Amino acid sequence: MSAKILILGGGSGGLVTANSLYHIFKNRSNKPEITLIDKNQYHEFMPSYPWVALGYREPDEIRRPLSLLEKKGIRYVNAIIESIDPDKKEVKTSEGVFTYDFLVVSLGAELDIDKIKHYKEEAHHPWSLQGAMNLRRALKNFTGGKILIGVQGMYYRCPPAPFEIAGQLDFMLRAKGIRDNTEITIFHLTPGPLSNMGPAISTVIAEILNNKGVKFVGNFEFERIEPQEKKVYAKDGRSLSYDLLIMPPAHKPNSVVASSNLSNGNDFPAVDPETFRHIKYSDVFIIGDIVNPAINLPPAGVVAHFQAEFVANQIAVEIIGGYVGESFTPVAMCIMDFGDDAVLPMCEFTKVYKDLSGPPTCGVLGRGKEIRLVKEAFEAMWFANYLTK
Amino acid sequence: MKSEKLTPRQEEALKRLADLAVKLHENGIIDLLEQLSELSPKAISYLAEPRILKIGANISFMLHILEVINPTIFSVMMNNFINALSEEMTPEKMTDPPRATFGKMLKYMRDPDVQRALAMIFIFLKAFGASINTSAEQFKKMMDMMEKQFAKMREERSKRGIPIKE
Repeated sequence: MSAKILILGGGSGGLVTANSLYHIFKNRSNKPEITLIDKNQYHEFMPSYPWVALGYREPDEIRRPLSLLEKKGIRYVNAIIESIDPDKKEVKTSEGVFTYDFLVVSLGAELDIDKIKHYKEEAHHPWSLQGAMNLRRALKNFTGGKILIGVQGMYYRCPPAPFEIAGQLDFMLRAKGIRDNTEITIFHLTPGPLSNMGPAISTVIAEILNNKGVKFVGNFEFERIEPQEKKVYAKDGRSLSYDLLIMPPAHKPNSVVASSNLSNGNDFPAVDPETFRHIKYSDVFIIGDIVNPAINLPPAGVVAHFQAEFVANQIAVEIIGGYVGESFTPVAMCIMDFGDDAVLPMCEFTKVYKDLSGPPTCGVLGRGKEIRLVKEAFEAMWFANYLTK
Repeated sequence: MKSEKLTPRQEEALKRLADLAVKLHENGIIDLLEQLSELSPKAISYLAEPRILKIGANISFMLHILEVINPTIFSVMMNNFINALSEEMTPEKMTDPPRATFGKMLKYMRDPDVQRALAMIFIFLKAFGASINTSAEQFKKMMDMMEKQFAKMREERSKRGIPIKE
């Protein structure tokens, strides 16, 4: 009988898991039944959300239907996941109950738009496709003033994104001829831009922001938005004014997982950081933003990508026996497009996440406008490889 | 379904494409491309090895150094330096290479050219020392930040039974 592999979530982690399993088993006779469930009909390439906000991409250019997976023999179910019961090995959805031999949970973080008071009315964000389109409309009507970009905490998808957005906005406003009457300011919890990644990256980003006249306010622990004053306050009493506020919404761990036995009353499920198997349920693998903050890995698609390949191989080993093709590589790279400049930073997190013994090893793999081409090539390759037409 | 007739130009292009496909097929290129295309989804994880990334970051930094050096200053200075060296280090002079005795050293120290070169070396040492200080401060800040984060993580992991590899 074929093994049943159930993948929850069609983001980076889920998509790469499904494709990796397809490649491992496509020429074998003992093919498992692979099913991917997602409430969305489309997979969206999240790194391009800022490009949608700035009008460089249209929504349909950065998404493809998950049903394309069916071409590879992967069953796709468009359903809302209602509950997970790891004791019964069952997942209840709006389209029925699914059982499994192996479960891969890659449901990502949830955006909690209502958590911060006045956020919904006052702030814009390119952390979803809808949010990106709303920001695009706001930017179209923007004629100058104060743009404030910041974060409400450290748990948000793609840590470099606020810096990238600031750089792109500078570029766009110069093209529109209104940069001289616009102030762009970033506030963040860290003392310097991306200083948690170390000086090798932070220095480069600080230099780019400085060249672009973008102000950085560090150690700013967000407290509240005051809509009447058009100000954002920090816990230490400092405040920053805005005419246009850009902030990622509060993120929270996935509520279905948080309410299941996988989380056992905690925010995040407990996994073995060596294998990403659940501590108690060894047939359950949990990857991506839904667990990474708890194991000291950044909430970024690239990390979920490498976890997904590793998990697919572990499952294959149990079905086939023997050889693990991929080990988990605790690295992250990200192409930061600043409009007329771009940076490709990289970090290796072995010491950070495994034994909690030291800082990440980071460096810059490339800098210059041409690096933007790498982002465009990666976007094209992503869809060609994982959602082939 | 209505079929659209190809234009003569399209027909010609398709024929050339077909001829090329036959050549590629006969030479085994299509076979090779088929095999290589299987590697495409794996390419990123193969290239994302920490070892390769570190080499890449270091090469990139070396290239950055070449980028920030002003080619006018660099080429003029290096040209003059090489010219001066060639004048001094002739085969005739190299048969009896000079030795820096204590007396000669004192004489060299009075030479304005040597004084300028020494000044440049001291400028270099000053900048190098300052960069060591700044780097030490930057690393200390980073280590303090990491240690705070690790203390929190250790407590959380031990509370929830998540192993920490020692």
